[in-house]
Amino acid sequence: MKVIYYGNNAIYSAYTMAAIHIGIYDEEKLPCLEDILRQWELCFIHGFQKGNLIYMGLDEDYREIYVIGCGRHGKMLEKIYNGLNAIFRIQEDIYFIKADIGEGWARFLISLNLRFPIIEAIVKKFFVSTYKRAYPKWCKKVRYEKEKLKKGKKP
Amino acid sequence: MKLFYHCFGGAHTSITCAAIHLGYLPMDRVPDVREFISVPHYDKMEDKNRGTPVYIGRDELGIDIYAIGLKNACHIMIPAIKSYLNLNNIQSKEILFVESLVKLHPITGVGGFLSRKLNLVSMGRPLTIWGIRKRYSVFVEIVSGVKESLYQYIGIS
Repeated sequence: MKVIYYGNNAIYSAYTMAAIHIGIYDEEKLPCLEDILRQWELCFIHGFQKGNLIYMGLDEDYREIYVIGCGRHGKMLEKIYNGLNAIFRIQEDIYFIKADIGEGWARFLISLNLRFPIIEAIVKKFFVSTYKRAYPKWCKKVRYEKEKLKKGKKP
Repeated sequence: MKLFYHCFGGAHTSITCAAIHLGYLPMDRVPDVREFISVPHYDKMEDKNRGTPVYIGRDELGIDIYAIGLKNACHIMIPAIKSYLNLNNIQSKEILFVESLVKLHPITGVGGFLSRKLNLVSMGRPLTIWGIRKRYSVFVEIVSGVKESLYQYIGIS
């Protein structure tokens, strides 16, 4: 089975939730400041890139975990992928997980920094604080979806 | 090989292009209203099903023709489709995408909105047909270009 975390962009909440899912990030504690700032760099460089399915790794039950940024068209993406499965007779199931928690803030902060690079230090601090606030919510959602996956429920 | 005509909703212009491609609609004249209504899947795609590829038929070259609605996100969805197919070892040259939303008559857009979004079919459908008939030559041109390219690609003169 493939599990796809999708959000407006791939590299903020979708990326973090996928990282929590496969164990790169610990569910119990926040990533260190260095990791958060690395993700800020990632957001800054690739924040507006959309439409690429990125492989993240395997989870403990050998499910392939992917992330994708698809703007506000997640539901349409589900329809397209399920349609392609039927057309090309792809047997493997796909489990879609919407990952949009806190994305609005991240998008706003990246745009703000692009427009006013001089305030980068302040924006970065805001980014770290919003990230820290969103992290428990991401963990909760990942736990919930993993439970659903274990029980074999449909999304 | 699969060919996807894509437009906003997957209900009108993509279906029209696919129908011209497969010969359901003529290339040498503007079809009348009844001919449009009898085209399979014309003005049928539900808003909630947008994104689902609809199989229209197989052409004389053996290419499967589909219509699909991608809203205004084809620049996101086409790479997403190609990356998904690559992942499943299906080469991206196996599928072709043709934009059929070019030079859309505004009346078609209004008709499509009324018919598909607001469910006012009796009001919207005639408007879509009126708009498409006005720009019919554009769709014929698109399909002719596509067919010519396909013949060259496959190597039949």
